[in-house]
Amino acid sequence: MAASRELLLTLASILVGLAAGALVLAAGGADPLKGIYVLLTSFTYYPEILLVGASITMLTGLAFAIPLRVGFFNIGGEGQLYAGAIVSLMVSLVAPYTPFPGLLAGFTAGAILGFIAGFLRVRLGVNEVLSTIMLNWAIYWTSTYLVIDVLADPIYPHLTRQVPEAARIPWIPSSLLGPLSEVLPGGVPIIPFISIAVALAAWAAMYLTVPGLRYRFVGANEYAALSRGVNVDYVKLASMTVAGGLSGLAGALLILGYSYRVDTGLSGLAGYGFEGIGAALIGRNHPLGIIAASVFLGELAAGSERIQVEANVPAELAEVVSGAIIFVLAALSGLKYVAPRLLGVKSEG
Amino acid sequence: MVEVVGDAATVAVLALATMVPITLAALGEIVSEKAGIVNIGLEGIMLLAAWVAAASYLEAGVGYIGAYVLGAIVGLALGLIHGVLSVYLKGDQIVMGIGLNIFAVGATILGTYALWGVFSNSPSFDPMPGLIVVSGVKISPLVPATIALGIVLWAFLQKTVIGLRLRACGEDPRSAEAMGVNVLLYQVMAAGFSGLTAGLAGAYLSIDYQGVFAKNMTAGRGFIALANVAFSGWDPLLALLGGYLFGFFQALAISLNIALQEEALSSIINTIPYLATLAAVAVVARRRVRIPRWIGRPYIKE
Amino acid sequence: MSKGSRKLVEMRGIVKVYPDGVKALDKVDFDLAEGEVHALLGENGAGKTTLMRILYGEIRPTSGMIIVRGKEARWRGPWDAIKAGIAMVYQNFRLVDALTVRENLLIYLSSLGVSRSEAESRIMSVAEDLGLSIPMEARVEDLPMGVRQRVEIVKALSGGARVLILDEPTSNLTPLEAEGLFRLIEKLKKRGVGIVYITHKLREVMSIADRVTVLRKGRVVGRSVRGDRFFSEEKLASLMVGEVLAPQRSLGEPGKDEVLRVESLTVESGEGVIRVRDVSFKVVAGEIVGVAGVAGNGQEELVEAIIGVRKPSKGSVYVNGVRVRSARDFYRAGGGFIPGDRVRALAHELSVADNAAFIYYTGSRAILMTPSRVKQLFHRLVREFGLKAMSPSTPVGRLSGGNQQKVLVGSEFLRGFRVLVAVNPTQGLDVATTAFVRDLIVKASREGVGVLLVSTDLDEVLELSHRILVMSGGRVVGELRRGEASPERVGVLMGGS
Repeated sequence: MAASRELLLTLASILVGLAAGALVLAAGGADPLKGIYVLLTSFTYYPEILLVGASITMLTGLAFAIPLRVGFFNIGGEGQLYAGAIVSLMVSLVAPYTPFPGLLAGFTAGAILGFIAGFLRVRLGVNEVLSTIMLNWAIYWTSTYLVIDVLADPIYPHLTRQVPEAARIPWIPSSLLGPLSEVLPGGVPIIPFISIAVALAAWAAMYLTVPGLRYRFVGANEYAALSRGVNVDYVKLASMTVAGGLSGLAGALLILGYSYRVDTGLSGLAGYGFEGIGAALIGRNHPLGIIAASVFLGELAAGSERIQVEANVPAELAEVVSGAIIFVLAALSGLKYVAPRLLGVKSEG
Repeated sequence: MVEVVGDAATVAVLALATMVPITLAALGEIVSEKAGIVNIGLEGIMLLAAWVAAASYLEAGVGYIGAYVLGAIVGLALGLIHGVLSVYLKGDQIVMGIGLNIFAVGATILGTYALWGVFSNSPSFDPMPGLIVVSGVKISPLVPATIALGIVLWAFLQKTVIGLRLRACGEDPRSAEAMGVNVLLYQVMAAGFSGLTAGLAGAYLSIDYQGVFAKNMTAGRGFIALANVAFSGWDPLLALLGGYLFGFFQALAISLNIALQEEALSSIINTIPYLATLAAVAVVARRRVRIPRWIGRPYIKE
Repeated sequence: MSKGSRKLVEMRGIVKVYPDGVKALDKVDFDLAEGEVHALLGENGAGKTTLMRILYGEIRPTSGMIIVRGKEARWRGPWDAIKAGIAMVYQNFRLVDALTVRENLLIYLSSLGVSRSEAESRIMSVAEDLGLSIPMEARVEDLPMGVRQRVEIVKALSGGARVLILDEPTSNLTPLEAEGLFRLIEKLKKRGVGIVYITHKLREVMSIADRVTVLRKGRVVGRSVRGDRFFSEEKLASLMVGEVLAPQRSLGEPGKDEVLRVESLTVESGEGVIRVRDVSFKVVAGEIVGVAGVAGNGQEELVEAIIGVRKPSKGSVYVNGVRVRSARDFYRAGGGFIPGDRVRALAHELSVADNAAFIYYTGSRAILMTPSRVKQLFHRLVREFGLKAMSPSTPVGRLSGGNQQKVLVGSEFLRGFRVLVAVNPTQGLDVATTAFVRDLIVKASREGVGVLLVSTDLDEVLELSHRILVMSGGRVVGELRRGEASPERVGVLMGGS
């Protein structure tokens, strides 16, 4: 499919998604056009939400996109992120010196979950959508237990203890930002740079290495890969494991680099895993596309936060819009079969 | 919810109440998947239908029956949309379902806020009265109805020519078409039916089981229903058994929590239904099940 | 007309041109009478099946006319043909494997508006009349191919078929099952059913056909009635294969070292049907061994077993003395592979550069793949192999078949190998590219590469091979040296079942 037409299809889906948001706004009695405008232009009001949201979504987006290329639906980003967040918090409390042990532990926790789902699929044939959702809920409740019973702050029982200063990922102070310091009085978190680095690394691994090329072949033509000596099962299992690890890393970054603690309802963690699905699909499963899509979704998050504060519409508006975009993208994904001409796909005699 | 005493008999009876949504949705999905269409969006359909049923009961005064009907209609409509987009537009069945699920979470929270001014849940109301009360557990008319539906669907799929034609679509649409079956029509109808049962399952949750709409109240039940489909090996009778089994784990968690009254431990107990479901599916996955062979793939005519 | 009986169907001046301009059928006439077997003979791609799919309403002819029992018929689809009493039995049966025989028959007959009880009694009476025992409760997938075929025939007849089109009906059958089929055909003839028998097997034509029409490249090149002077294996073989030029190319002298050894290899398909039966041979350095045969006689499975993709049920493969247990073994031992099917060998959505690099790095332990090296690879393909592509980033699916083949072949040659397994390496290529690829193969063999050339193109095998193995029904049925191989001799061996 021509790249420009793909982009067009994506933009059309975004428009439909925004229209769905407008519809919901109108149904709720708000001015739909103004609402959409606010939704798309509020990054200056909540720059941190945009930056943090985009950097976390970027990683969970990769976590969905990487296995999808080889035909697996990793819906477990949510649980893998919880696990990464809680484990990294625990490690930071045990080893309060640098953020690195926490990051590693977070990645590992997520990777183990990804591996379990991948293993169940490759070896036993358990559908990965099912296993990842069941694991999401099991991890949700396990995390809740840990938050309430093990990690609770003695003073604020609805919150956990905080990541010790030394184990936090530092911020760039606003004094170093020059003219930007007015917009970002609190400085800039470093996690967006880490996420972008990870996304670029994923891009490099996919496009500049031989194993990455083989991985892309498994997704594009499994038989060709098989007939050229690629161990297809291994590639699939590895991609689920790495994906889980990236979601786990996202959770660790969120805790060590931004929120430092979790509330008992896990509301500070919720939703990023599913947002990642949107980022992956809007970004067409390409690491660079996912970077752009994450920024877009980060803006939606900032915008919906502002709408919640100013117009009293719940911030879940962002989910309505991204859910609708995903739905429309999926619905249109079969156009290549139905109307190949429209998409400029050459038909084979 | 109903007062529950934490003994085994109560758990066994409570499981009849908890089995309804996961079984109903699974039964519809079996029909749909037998025809070749997968709907991962059951969770979202259930959630939207639960909200519509609660909202129409509370705000429109349609009564319990009216709320059930509206929930079912919402489900049917969503199922038909999914079917038409899958069958005629060859949309990606899995990803559409994912999108629907995410949309439903957001939309119901917005709806809850718009109607009742809070983020989390609707006002509570008296759930629909049951047929009888056994060991303190209300038995909804949907309990026998679900069991009956399982038996009827089994007979439909195994004993009727229409059921036969439907199964042919999910196994080998090309051969089915060659033998004169209107594959695309059967698939859309089956997808609609799956939406309908998921809608009923959702309505059951809010107006019959709990008497409230709460955000995310489906809590993975749509996916447990999908697990039940796999567990049953696409057999409606076994889906009744699977539904009862998975319902039993939920009932067990509920009863244990009420009996123990331990806040911290309750979270660990809450993992039981999910882990048990996963374990059950992993165990039966070793068994050779007859998966409909053309499941989830677009059928593109030559 | 052989028996002067009533014509069931007649096709006049059938032309079929596909949207891409390929002319599949050119003014073909065909007819069928009650109670006769009319064989439609030709090689793969001759247009036999296309012609019959037109009669069956699956394909619309570009022009021409179908006449059924004296009246012109216009089919909107196969169901119009079925209702007019025309049924087709494909090589790959149109039965739902997971359902039982009864269930399949019920679906078919219910589509014709037949009630359940009526359907049961019709099936019983057809089966009884033909003396067939049909296992009604068995799942189709559990049945041997011969029984499935009987089910298809009972299905067609109980639906009222008077014209039965059998497409390569013995291709999936054991010899014993094939004999059963012939007896069944005799019975059907007696009951007035007309049978179109699509085949490339001369021996079957000899034993069963009343008439034969030979197609080559979409044209009728001969007709014959049992008893006339053309009705012989040799005559029909030369009509079917056409004029084949004797080999002209001079080949190098094979060396001594054995580079590929296949030892009593037996390969089964996924359904447990034996596809390759006890095949043994070896290839020495500098030798080109051709494998001739009509497609579907086990070549694909043989190749897959040699390159390590398919596990043989018996026997073994050695490349340069290394036992091949996986595809990686094959490539690392010095194997090279040019697959026959470009669609399955290339990733069409990925770029030319990606595809080239993927092939180039087969079996390699390299990690980094720098853009400059990939670009270099692309430029070598352009320079040394005459690849025409706009840029390295063009999706390979956008290239013409010839250029796709250059990507495939060129990258593999740049990678290097000591044994080459090439399957239909020039299929669908223009004359210049064909000559180019053949030159490459001969050049490689002169440099000491052992080549196994599997091709359904008889010209190619005759032109390039030191030795020719003829495959039929999964066996090597003959071996001919370069001097002794002629199109006729190979053709007769190919056609034997």
